[in-house]
Amino acid sequence: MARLRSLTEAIFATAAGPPPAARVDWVVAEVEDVLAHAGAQMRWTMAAATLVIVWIAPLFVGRLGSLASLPFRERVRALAALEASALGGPVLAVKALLCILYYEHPDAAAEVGFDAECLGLPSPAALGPAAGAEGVA
Amino acid sequence: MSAPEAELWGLEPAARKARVAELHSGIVHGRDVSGDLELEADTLVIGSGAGGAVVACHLAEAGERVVVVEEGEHVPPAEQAQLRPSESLRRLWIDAGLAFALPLGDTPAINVMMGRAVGGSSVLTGGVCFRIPGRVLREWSGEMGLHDYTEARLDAAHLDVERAVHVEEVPESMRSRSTTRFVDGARRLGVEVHPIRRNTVDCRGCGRCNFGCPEQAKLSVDQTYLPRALAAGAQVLSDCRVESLVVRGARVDGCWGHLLRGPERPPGGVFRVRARRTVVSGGAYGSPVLLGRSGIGRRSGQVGRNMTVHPAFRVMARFRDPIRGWQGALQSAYSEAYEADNVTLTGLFVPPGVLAATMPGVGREHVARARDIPHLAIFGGMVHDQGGGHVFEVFGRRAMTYRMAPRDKAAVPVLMRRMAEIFFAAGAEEVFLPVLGLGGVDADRMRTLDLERVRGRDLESGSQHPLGTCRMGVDPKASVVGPDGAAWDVKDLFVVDGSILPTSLGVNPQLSIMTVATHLAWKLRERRPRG
Ligand SMILES: Cc1cc2nc3c(=O)[nH]c(=O)nc-3n(C[C@H](O)[C@H](O)[C@H](O)COP(=O)(O)OP(=O)(O)OC[C@H]3O[C@@H](n4cnc5c(N)ncnc54)[C@H](O)[C@@H]3O)c2cc1C
Ligand code: SF4
Repeated sequence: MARLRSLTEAIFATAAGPPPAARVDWVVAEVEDVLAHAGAQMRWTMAAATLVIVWIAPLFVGRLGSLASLPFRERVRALAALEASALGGPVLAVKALLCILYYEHPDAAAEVGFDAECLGLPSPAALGPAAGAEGVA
Repeated sequence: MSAPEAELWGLEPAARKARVAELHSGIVHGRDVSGDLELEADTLVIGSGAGGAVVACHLAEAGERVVVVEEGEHVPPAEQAQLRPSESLRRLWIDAGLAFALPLGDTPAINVMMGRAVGGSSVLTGGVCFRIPGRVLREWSGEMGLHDYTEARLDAAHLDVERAVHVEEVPESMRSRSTTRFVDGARRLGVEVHPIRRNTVDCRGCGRCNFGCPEQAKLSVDQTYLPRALAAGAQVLSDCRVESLVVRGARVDGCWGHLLRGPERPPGGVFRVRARRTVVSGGAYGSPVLLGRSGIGRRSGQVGRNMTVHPAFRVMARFRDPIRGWQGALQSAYSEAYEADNVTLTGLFVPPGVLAATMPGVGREHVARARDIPHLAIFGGMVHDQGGGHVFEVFGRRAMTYRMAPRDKAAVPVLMRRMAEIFFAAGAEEVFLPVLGLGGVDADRMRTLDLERVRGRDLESGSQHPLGTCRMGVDPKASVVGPDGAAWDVKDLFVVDGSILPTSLGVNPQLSIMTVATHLAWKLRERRPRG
């Protein structure tokens, strides 16, 4: 949970910082639910990929320890460096799943100009009172 | 059978939806059944997808007592319309759409997508319909000795399916701008592109076909054949996973399985269906596992082997002006211009998250790239592959591997280059090839890329067309079923679905599977079950 959270915050960070906390919570919960429906092979692959990223990425910015322990901007830099390297596969895999869910959040979809009416994207209200809350920018 | 049942699509939309809902209300949800269940049938059909629904319909309409058991949920159309794409993945797709064929050799890890619902994968299609290509039928009826499988002999079955699911050409006015751009580029280069045919009626081009059609405009088997089967008295049960066929001596006597209670809960009671004839229609992933578990097909050693998948690759292109490719029919044009290279190109679109997933970068770079989503066009290409896939069970779980033949691997750079050239001819500023980590490529860089050297594991590939894992043939040593779909090893067992197609097709397979299923159902109808 904490690992996925730190990855979500870094991947979708803007100049203002990580996305709103409520949105990150929502994405993390959705990822866990999708994985509960996926096969054991995929659950294992995702767990392994996340583990690799969390411990290997810091090495790419000359740091030891877990990704979550890095200052926020360093975290983004470390992930970007790992993604661009020959070892980038795990980042691409986890990012793919996170992206599918992240851009289903109506605010995230709106931010990238996606406005298809019939893809069933929920209204912010349907996601609960916290969903539209400000993040930790 | 009354005419409205055979041609439900001819009704006014409201009347059609009401009639389908009325018939769907007859579907028994296994999760609501308390205790165990015992049923009897003339014909038991396992799996309610493109193959199973067609067989069930024809046999029920011929007066047989038909029972259809389906592992997946019954999600009524109105409920499907409310699902977000990822919710649809969770409820209607096998392994939430995240099943992969483990790559062997120089092969990409292919994401194999399949349905698990009342209506099977048919519910998830883009609606694209192709007849079995003549060149494929010539191979089947010629080299492979399947003499019944010629264009002339299958014509009646082809026509019957096309009428039943209302195959129509997508008008140019319904094309998305994504497809229009590609078609413009192709025309400039003299590459022929044709309109696609789809099984739709009153389609309004909202582009969410793969996640369930909100208008019930896509005439998947849950809108056509299954309602007809229900109207003719068939019993259709959802949430019923068949664990094994019941083999008594030299014949199959039905099946047993578990009533499922959803992903978070253990299975409930046991169900048992006794049948004079059993038709396995679990699809190319489900059928071989079921046969294998039941000890059938060991003699030939072919069960689960020979899987073809039509490995597919997407190329995206960024244009200066907005494309908003989600507006318009999901799939509306295709090109066979590269058939000699074993490549077919078809239009498509995918949700924004899938587009964004291909965008390089993290943080600000990623977010900036994701803002280009409305400017992206996309087209796909699939390889008419030779096979090399294997479906099996390990520690009680299904798995698959795929080894790409060198000929098929060689087709991938051709496919990427041709699609990129077409997009550049249409004015694209950069393209995104399905090469992991490559990022955007402009026309100059494209010319310098050595795509032949890209390793299989660096390619991003998907498949929606697994086929051939219980292939049909004339030699019991080299096939699982004969030309009539009958298993070689035991009596009263038939396989009718995509798993019996003896080769890949090079085109989307639903119409082909339904045609073969019609052809076989007509034969079964003449050959009433014993007993
Ligand atoms: C996303 C997507 C898009 C597609 N788009 C197109 C398209 O546009 N055009 C086209 O021609 N084709 C398309 N296809 C392919 C087409 O849908 C399939 O080839 C076709 O539906 C396969 O038919 P089938 O009967 O072999 O299997 P399916 O339709 O997959 O049906 C098999 C059913 O059997 C059930 N089953 C399996 N095992 C068991 C068991 N043990 N017990 C009970 N039930 C079981 C499964 O749950 C499933 O519902 C698409 C497929 C997908 C996934
Ligand atoms: S484009 Fe929309 S209305 Fe048409 S078939 Fe697909 S989902 Fe249904």
